[in-house]
Amino acid sequence: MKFIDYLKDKILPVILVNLLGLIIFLILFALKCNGWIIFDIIFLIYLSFIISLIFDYLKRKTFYNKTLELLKDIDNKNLIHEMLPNTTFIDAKIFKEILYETDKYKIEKINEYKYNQEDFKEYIEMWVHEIKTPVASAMLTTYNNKGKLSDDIKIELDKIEDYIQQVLFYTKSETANKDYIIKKVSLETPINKVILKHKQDFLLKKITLELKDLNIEVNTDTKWLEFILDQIINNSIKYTEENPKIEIYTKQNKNDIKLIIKDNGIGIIPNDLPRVFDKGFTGSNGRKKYNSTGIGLYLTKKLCDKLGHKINITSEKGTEVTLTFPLSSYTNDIKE
Amino acid sequence: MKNILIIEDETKIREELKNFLENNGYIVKLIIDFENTEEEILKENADLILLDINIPNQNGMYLCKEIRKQIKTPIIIVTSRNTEIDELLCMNYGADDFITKPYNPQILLAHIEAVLKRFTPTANTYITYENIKVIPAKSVIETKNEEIELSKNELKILTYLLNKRGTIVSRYELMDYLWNSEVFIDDNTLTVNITRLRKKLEDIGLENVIETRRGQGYIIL
Repeated sequence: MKFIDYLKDKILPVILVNLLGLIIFLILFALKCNGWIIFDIIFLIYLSFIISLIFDYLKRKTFYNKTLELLKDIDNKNLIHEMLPNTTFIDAKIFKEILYETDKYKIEKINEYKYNQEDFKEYIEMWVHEIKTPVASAMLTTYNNKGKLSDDIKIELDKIEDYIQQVLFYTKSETANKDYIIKKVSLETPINKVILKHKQDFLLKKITLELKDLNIEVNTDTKWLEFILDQIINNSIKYTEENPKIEIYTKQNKNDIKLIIKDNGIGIIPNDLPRVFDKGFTGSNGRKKYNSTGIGLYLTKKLCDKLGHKINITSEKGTEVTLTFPLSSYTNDIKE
Repeated sequence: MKNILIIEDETKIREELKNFLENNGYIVKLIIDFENTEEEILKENADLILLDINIPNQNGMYLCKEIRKQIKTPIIIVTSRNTEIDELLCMNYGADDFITKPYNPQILLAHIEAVLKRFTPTANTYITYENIKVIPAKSVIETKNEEIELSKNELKILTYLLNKRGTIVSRYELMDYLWNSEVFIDDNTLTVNITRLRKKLEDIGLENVIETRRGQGYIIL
């Protein structure tokens, strides 16, 4: 708050005091008072006016400057009304009251949405678990009634299952809850599970699979990692070319373990590469040939971030996805 | 034949699961009324219990714990909740395995087989063919005067064909079986493995044990 701005704000009192001074001067002049007396009176009026202005200015300045400083420092800006410095001038009190009311309203609204969202999340989780029973039952029915019809339905059921899983992990990734457990897991376990899940694709598309050095332990949550690997391997299977081949291997460094999933499929064009993790981004490949939703890799990235794994995708001939599991930072996390 | 007891309150799943397991050579018993679940389970004397965690009138985890206190029968828990925490809890309550809905029925079968295998003493099981013995526990073929070692893949292929003796096994079926046991080989590797296996059998004087039926697969007669 600059003094000049303050004065501009007080323009009316300044004009009035000047007018008042002029009138008093004219009256006293008409009464033929002594020139020195006139000067003293006018001087006193001006002096008291200026002092009161400066005093008022300083009070406001300290108040607002302190408030702004505080605002910068606190994380939850909605709580500023609790922190306001004490002061005596009247509009500060009104200002405080307004802030208090609006903040209260905002906090209430935010909580309302938060609870709504939590309710919704709970509902989705419940729904996901409920829907699994009829899907399981349909799956069994197809196995008990072999034939082309059942085989076709089986394929669709697998898709439904994938979408259900995606919904579950989407809600998990959007909420702040920490519903994962990080412990030592051999990479072999989740990888084998995911490969087994896609057995049909591997066998029918005659995809060569090369696994190397996977009996190595990393710190992760198996279920989450399984979902992440599923998204990556699913893409490799989806975007194959001639003589398809998928290699999965690890590289052990001093501070981390890298898991590399490499395919010789159609790859990703350089323009698309920076955006593959964006929500809803499908890329030119996805849009043209396959009905991709642009959610899979977005979720993968989000879950990786939460678990503290790094994910990186490059594409020259085919696509190469690298997952990095840091060795040290986790041990601290677990100790906590 | 092994007895499997299914504890599942969803009628449709229960019936389909019963059919499915019966088609795969198991005797299936069901619990339909969940009033005295625990007593009924104990009464059935099954070889394996397939326990759905969400059953009426009772907490499945608690039930699992109570059963475990009294009998050693292997328990596989079936649940639709699939977090790490659920899995840990189940294991803590004494379950031997854990599978999540919706399961691929074949994977369920693999789990059942694996658990049952763990619980049956394997030391003396072997398969005989002509004058040889195939001993899976040692991964060898035993003849009168020698032992020939088999690789993991060769053993799996040979035992599978022997167990299906007299029927044609397609390459796809064989691959499917191998993949289910987490041996992820491709077409060429399968050919190589079969060739090696044949060579080993020839070395001990068994010519043409594994016959090729063109366009259909392999058969051991």
